[in-house]
Amino acid sequence: MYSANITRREKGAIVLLIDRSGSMDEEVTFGGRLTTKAQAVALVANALIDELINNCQRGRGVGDYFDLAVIGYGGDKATPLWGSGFRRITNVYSMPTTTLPDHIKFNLPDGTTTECIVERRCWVEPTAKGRTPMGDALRTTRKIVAAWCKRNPTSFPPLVINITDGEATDATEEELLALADKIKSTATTDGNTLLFNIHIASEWDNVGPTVWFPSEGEPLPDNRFSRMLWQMSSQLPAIFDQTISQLKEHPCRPPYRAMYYNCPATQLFALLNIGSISIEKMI
Amino acid sequence: MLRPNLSNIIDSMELHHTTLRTLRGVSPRRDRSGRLLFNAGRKSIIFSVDIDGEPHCLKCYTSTPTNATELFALLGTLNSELLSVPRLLPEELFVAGHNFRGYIDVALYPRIEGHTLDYALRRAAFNHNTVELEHLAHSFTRLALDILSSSWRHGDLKPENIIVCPNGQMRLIDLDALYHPTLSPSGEVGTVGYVHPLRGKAYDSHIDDYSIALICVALHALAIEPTLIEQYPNCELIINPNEAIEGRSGALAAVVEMFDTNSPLRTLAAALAEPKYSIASLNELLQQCIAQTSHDAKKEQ
Repeated sequence: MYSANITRREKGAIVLLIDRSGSMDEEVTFGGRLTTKAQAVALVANALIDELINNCQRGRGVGDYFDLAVIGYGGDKATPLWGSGFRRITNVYSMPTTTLPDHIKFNLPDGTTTECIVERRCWVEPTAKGRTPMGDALRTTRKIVAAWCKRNPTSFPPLVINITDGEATDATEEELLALADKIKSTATTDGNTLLFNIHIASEWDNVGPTVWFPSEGEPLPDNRFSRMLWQMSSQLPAIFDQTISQLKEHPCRPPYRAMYYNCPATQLFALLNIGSISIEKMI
Repeated sequence: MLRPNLSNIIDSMELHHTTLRTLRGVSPRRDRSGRLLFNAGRKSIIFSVDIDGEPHCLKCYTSTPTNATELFALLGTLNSELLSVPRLLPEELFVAGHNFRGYIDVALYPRIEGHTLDYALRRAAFNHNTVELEHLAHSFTRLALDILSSSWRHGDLKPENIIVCPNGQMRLIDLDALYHPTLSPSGEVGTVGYVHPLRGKAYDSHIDDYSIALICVALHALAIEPTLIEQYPNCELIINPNEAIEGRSGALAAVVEMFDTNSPLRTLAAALAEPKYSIASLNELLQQCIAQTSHDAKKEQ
């Protein structure tokens, strides 16, 4: 299980669910600067897409190793960014995008600094408006992931990464758990779809401790939302153990749960390592 | 320690004047949009660069082979026309990202002029250029015989790791999986789609057998029927090894029938379905292929 290699014949799939509700307009510290949650998430999402494309670069150009879907949810409904759902990574690479200048600055070990400006492509634009239709997002995700698994029955199963800063406004807890279970029940012959839930912390409210990729016995904060996130999230297979152990300062024993509760914006780049797990399966 | 992301390494190359510890005169090549020219591997990213005007490949490791020092020392002694001699530059490139900060190892290779065999065969197949495909098949068979007569094996033989030079000669790149009787294994297991499914972590003089047979058979089959590349688009090269050894490869069945009953190619094709990763009499079969091709060429004249 979870042993299939990712090839051009048996592609991988990644779905990014991005909360675009009004609360994502809240300011956070990210990359040493004050920005909004929406901007931080967009930056990380774009970096993940860029990393995926880079890893697919072969002699003949970008190879078709992944299908990618990005679904934003804010206001009344969830909206796939690109038509009905998945796009080939080759399509994502060649689609027109805006770019943003990024100032790279390195502090070298000898004490000197070096810097330049590079243009970063923006597939995901930061948006923050309206309510949080996470239920609709999960429903849409289940549909596209089920169809993908049917078309790719022997592939490494999809990774779904849900990034949110709060509770859904269009579904009860029971409905959300049921929807999450439906996503997790979609499968290929290599395993079930893996659902990650990343909850972004507020810097201004006292919302309690951070919990990330908890072990089965690790205590959760005493609140309903963190417990719900835990139940929604997949139990991770062994291929994730090493990377998560390296990310955690004091790792407990696996298996780990695919959740990050009260994730500081500065830790969002851990998402890149989650995505790169599937990259490591690439031939 | 977490490995650096490719994006971090690409950023470092943008700042190569200061992030490269010892290399100087480096000018990374770019495409028309200004993007650095590179190829991503499983554990590395390879940039096309010029160094003082001379073309090179700069292979930056996200994970250096465990036997790298040994391997690069050995490559300097093998004296084979098929292999270029690289230089290992430990802790050469400074990389900084959210999950990694430090120096990574780099290998510097002279860049070999030409296209990959992968590019060449696909171009010829899509153009239905059977003459070119015959040349490629013949050249590859000669390359394979040269490998089998040497003290080493490539370990990750596939069309993307073979360069077809302008003079038709073929040379090998990406040598991290090399086998030599004096070399500790790196743990590389070749590329799915070109290795025998049961090869596992085997490390001996037979690790190229299956790849050689698969590529040889595929090229000769394409020289007869170039549309095979379109008929079986979802395999790495026409035949899926898993399906072959499980006896359910329609592609292999079709290819076997394309060769004469007594042809060495038919024997090689049948070997692709065997449960062993070593192929008996491979050298002899390849010699017969060369002899047969030469005989056929003389007949046509």
